[in-house]
Amino acid sequence: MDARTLAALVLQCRNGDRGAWDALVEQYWQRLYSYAVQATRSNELANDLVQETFLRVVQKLERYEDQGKFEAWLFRILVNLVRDNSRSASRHPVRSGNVGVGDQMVDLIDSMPGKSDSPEAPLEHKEHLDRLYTAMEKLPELDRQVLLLRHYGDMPFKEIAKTLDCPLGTVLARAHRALGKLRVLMEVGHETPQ
Amino acid sequence: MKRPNKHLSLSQTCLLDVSGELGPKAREHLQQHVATYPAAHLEYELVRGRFAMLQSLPKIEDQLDQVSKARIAANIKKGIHQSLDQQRKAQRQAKLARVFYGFMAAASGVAAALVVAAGVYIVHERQLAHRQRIIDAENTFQEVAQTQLPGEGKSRVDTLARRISRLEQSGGISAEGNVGNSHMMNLLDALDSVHATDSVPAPGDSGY
Repeated sequence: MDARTLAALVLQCRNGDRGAWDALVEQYWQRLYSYAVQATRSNELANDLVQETFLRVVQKLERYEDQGKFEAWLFRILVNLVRDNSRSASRHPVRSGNVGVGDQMVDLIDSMPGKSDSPEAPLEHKEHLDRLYTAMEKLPELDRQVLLLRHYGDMPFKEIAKTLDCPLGTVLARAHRALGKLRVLMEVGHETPQ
Repeated sequence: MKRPNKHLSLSQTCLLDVSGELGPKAREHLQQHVATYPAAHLEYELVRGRFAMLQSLPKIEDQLDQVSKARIAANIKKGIHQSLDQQRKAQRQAKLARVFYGFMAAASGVAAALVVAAGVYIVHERQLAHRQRIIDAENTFQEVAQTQLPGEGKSRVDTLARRISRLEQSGGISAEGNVGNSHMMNLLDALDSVHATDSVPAPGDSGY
């Protein structure tokens, strides 16, 4: 969706057009949900947080000044909600409805189609992904956040910079560092079982 | 050779390129740079490999079936519609409250103005009545002072005494500094003189 169409859609939403709100949800919910699931490791919680994100947009859209940063604003709301939830969860570790990273990822990997005809290939791929998810979990929070926003939020680095309110160079440096650590962690994880 | 982006390092520029965010001109510069310098080429391939690793992670939305997607989207939309309804209701209530409070303020203002006007009217009427009584008493005094007949004078004195009594009841005498006070003193003096006139026979008058 180009900037002009998005601005028109946001204006319609501001005027209370339900159809425009539905279109806005259709445009963004999957990317928000995908990021939220990975960040919270819970489908249920991700669902709640995405819904809460849109509700906050409904409440705050009146005061929103369109400067071509709607997407960044939308994701910033979600990122803040995820962060607040994470802080709250760390204060109250036992939380119903949370799915452990292993369960979540195994479900995901199981549902993936194999990429090779070899009978060992799906298993190898699953192990590879398992290591990748585990490695992602070990990344520092800010570095991990950049990678999640880039991949699951499908955001360009420039938009991530706007979302996190920091320079593009900082975001790229974090991403580069995170990818390097991820590679190292993957190699360590691959060598450990042997 | 000129660097593709003077604000970013080579690795950062490579990352932008593999992410598909580099403009055509900058991309051309980067490709030339990478083709010229083996170290740059190595760095580029390293960044591309790492980014591909990230890209290999499956996305959640690809794993959801259409029913689940429709359900999640419907839930979000339902929440938004409810919120919009609540927002409209709240706006209507706020508008009604503004109208109500505006009306109440206006009504209170009118009521206060009426009370003040009524108070002013009552005080004004009392003052007028008081002045009228004083004027009446003075007129009676004048009439008494001018009469020569003892019987007529007595009846006028009685009238005067009644008016004075009414004035006393209305508080005209007791109020110090009141306008009526000086008039009252005059009246009392006049009354004394009337009594003196009635009791002392005029020369040549036997009194019977």
